[in-house]
Amino acid sequence: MITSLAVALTMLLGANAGPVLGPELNDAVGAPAGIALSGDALERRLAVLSSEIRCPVCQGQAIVDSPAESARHMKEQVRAMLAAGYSDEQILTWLEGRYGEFIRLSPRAEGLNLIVWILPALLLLLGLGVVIAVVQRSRKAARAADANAGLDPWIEKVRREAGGGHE
Amino acid sequence: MSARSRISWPVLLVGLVVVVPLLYLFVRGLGFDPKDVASPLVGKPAPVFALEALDGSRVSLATLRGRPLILNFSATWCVPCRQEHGELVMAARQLGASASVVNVIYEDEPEAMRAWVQGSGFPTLIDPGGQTAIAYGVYGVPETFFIDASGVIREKVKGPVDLGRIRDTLEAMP
Repeated sequence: MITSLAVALTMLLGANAGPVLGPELNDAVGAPAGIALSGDALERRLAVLSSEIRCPVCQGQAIVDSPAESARHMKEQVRAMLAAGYSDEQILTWLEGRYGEFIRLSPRAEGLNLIVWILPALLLLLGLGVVIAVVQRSRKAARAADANAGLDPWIEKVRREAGGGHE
Repeated sequence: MSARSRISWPVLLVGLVVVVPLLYLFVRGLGFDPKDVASPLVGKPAPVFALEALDGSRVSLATLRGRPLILNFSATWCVPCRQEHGELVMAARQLGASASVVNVIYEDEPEAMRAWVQGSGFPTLIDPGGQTAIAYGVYGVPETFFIDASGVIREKVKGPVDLGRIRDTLEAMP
């Protein structure tokens, strides 16, 4: 069945494209877990998924944004896999098995990687805490100053009366 | 109030504890090649392929089994590949029947490659759509995979290999 699928895809993609899906694909990720896509739905899903896959020859660019030949080829590979009904996760897992996790533009949120996901939020909260503390402290200081300000005319009066004799 | 007394030592300490490790990681990271990731394929069966060679013959992984295989990805636009090619030709001559050398064209025109690899003594395969390169997780050229007689990838080398490296890697293979 896989062979016939590969042959059908080969015909679909043109005679020179060669077999897109190797027989090892199912061994690696199992049978297609999604729905076989075509037409607009396929292109839409391809655009989304391609934005999560790193172009192997570029720096920090997704294959959807890259004009590189190898990025184009990888997009063809992803398109063929989506057309055969493989899910996003199956496709990413398959690529990861070849290229390593670096092929994902954003690292998986697990293990040590969690630092990358959690630390910015944590630092942001910490910064927010510091800002709130500073603002509260300066408000308190201002309030204290205000309290003294109310006494000013009275203090002035006391000074005038006490020191009046010396002037 | 003097400027000196404005420094809050606890705040400074917390700041340093946060900033110094980040700065250290950043400086260390500058020296890393982010693409220099260990191939997850090492220790796994090599992805199968059956490709047409420049001479019109068909070469597959199955036909190459039984002795170690040096699978090299290269292109004419890649300068280090040119330097490496001479080493591969020498290696193929020295190894004779004890190991195979096979070259796969990476994102290049077969016609451009033809003149370059003429007389190399080993097959150069056309990889339509770059599928074999994707199956092997090639980040750039040159890259060389050392596959043992049973078809398991034992080593992946990024960048050009020379005769010494080829010999050492083959010797270290089980």
